[in-house]
Amino acid sequence: MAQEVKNVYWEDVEVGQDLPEKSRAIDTTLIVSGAIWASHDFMPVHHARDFAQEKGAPDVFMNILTSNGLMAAYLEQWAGSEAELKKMNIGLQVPNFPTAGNKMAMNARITKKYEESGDHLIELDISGDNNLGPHIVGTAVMALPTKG
Amino acid sequence: MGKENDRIKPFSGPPEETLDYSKLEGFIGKSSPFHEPHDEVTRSDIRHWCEVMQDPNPMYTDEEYAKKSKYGGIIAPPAMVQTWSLDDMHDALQRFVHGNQPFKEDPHNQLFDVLDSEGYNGVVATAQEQTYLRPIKPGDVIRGKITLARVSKYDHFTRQGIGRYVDILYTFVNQHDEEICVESFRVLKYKPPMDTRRLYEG
Repeated sequence: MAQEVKNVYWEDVEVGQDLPEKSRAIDTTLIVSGAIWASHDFMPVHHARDFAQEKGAPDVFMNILTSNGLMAAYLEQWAGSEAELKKMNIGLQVPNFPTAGNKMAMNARITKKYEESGDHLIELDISGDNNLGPHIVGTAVMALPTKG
Repeated sequence: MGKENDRIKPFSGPPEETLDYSKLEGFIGKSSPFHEPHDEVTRSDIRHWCEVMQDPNPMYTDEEYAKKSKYGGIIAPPAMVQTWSLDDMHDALQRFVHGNQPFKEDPHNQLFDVLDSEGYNGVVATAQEQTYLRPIKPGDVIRGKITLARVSKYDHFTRQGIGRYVDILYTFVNQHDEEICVESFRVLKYKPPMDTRRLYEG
């Protein structure tokens, strides 16, 4: 069943443009299913609270692949199904813990618009902030479709 | 200056060397062989990922839609690339719970063994950069190799405790030996337990 997909075209975006903010609730279910179900990461700090606490953390916390995946999905949902993610560069700061009411607010701003090897590209500054402060800070590069 | 010097307290002495760097440096620049994945890429792997990430992109899950695209069928979200190279459950628990690394001959695992034995047995990922070069499709067999790029010469004092950063480079190829992603990855190997709960309160 084909879905209705809205694409963002390269001609229509400009440097300095902010993407609409999106938030995702951070709870134990997301942290555990992100680690094990989605990214196949069985490091116990991401699913076993006792183990995480032995290692000095207050609780289980999100693995980097899920953090990266959530930011990538945020960008791709904005851009539409014809966009291509070319690069994700992220640094992690405070972890995503499943504290009651915690959520990660995702934002991005277009910092560059250029053509390279036939691709119509944009570069973005990206961030994901939780109840403790910045969780992810980074940059991304995407190719967008053109109208031509 | 004579009298004034008496009022100036000395800095604490130079930091003691906590780990002999020569035990680590021999592994720098060395690579593992390519390792086979635990499974090939499947539609259900892709669906699991999209379900968790709440990614409705039809290119990943709608065969009819994706057939008409330039890919000719569904592809995996590029950020999934590392999924098929991670330890299976048994190996992961051996590695992280029992300190028994799989692929003992791999340079990065040998380095982690040294760090573990010196007390740096906590690990947390702190940064990664992935450059996506080719699409991943169901049926692909993604193999990865790891090159050890760098390790801190001295201790860092971090939120997690005292630790050493380790930079590793991944190269992922498919069954046609085509590069699909290159990645740099930074982990902190630290000395637990240091209870950081108070740092994260409020």
